[in-house]
Amino acid sequence: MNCKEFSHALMELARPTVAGGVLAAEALQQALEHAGGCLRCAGELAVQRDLSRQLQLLGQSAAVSRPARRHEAALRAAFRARRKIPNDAAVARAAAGWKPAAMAAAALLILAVASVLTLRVAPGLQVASARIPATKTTLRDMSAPNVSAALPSAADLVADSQPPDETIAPALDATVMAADAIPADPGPPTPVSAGPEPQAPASPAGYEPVAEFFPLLYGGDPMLAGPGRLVRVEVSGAMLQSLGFPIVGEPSPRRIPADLIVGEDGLARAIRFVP
Amino acid sequence: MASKQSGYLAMATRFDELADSELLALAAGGSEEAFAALYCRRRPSVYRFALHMTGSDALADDISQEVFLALIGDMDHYDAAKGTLAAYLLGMARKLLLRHFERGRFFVPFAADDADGSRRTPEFLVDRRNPDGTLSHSETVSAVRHAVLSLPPRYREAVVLCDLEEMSYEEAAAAAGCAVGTIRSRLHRARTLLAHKLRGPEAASQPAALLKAKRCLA
Repeated sequence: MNCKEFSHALMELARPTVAGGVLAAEALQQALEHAGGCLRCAGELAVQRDLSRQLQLLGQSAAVSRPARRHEAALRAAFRARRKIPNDAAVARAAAGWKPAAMAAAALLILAVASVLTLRVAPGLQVASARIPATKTTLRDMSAPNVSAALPSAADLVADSQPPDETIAPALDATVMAADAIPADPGPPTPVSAGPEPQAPASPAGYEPVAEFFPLLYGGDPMLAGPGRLVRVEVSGAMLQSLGFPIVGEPSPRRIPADLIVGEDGLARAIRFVP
Repeated sequence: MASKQSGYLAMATRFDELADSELLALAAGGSEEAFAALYCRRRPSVYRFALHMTGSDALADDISQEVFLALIGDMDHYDAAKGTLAAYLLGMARKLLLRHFERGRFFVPFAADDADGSRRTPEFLVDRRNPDGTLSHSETVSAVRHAVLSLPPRYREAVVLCDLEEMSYEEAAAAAGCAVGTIRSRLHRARTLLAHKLRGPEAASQPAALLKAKRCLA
């Protein structure tokens, strides 16, 4: 063994009390034998052993103070708070289990109430349709006299909504459906102008999907229109264009079912499209 | 005697026979007594490690408190396959200490690095007296403590773990988060630095080239 190899064994020779050495006993013995014949390595070993002794003194001198009571109290509080976590988590899980059930029950209740309300209104579908969603008001008098024949604007509108088939004439009387003319049957309303175009699929009994009313430009405020009537018509693209709807390109000849609110003055106040 | 004990120390006496990992498992299950036993068993080493690393009683107290608070917060994080619980706790203490050191709150204003990468020891930390017989016990302890504190942290922790806490290389490596060979080399370097600091200026100023020339190659 030379001095370089001895230096690898020096630490373990100088720290005999420390376990976990990586050198074999035979190598350590050889290192000791080398130190016996090498003055410099023997000196290094003596220095390191002296250092070990001093470090041992330092290690033994380190008095460990007892932890302060506040530290123990803080640890105890932290530990007990942690111990409560599973309970809290269990409560949270239980609450989380309730939430979906409660939400589902609430949703079912809302659906049931909505269904009941809708079914109750369905026989007077046209009356319900007269509701103006934007203003949350309804026409006050749905039993106003039928003025459709005397309403030039509505008449024009209806006339335009007629299919070109002359067999459906008289157009105005046939296509304008006053609210009281619609049967009380809660089933889907039958379009008067039964044309060759495909009909929309029938809605479930008592239901008719409706859209919101759009106020017409010249009709003024629907709220100020006073009593009026709800009229089911079919309008063409050209008519929609004349009403102010933005139609891009050539208007389609296809007629679109719609509901009109016609005021007492005969002017159409608002329109909504029937899907 | 036990009746005079209070707090965690009194609670800990029932679990003397259990291993650290068993105590931790019990504590994780909610046993405060098991945690108290673990605390009383392992806090001294954590405290001593922090004390030797910082030289400050107050900081050592704070660090050991933070270590056990962190342990309470995440008892399931310990993996027995990666090392002993003692090494795990010292590793936590080491990280907290390094964080303190990085903040610079407890830095001693060292001068520039020496050529070998170590920092030059401040003059007030170097004990110039010969420790061989001329110093009393307390003076020796004080001189060694100052010399240890003057080491760079990576060397200091190697000395503290391996020599002062008398941990094996494997445990020290687990606590320091490095390889066994790294710990060995750091310890070797640290002890060389310590010896030079404690032997005084004569030995410390001895030229390295001269020392090498004197080495035998037999």
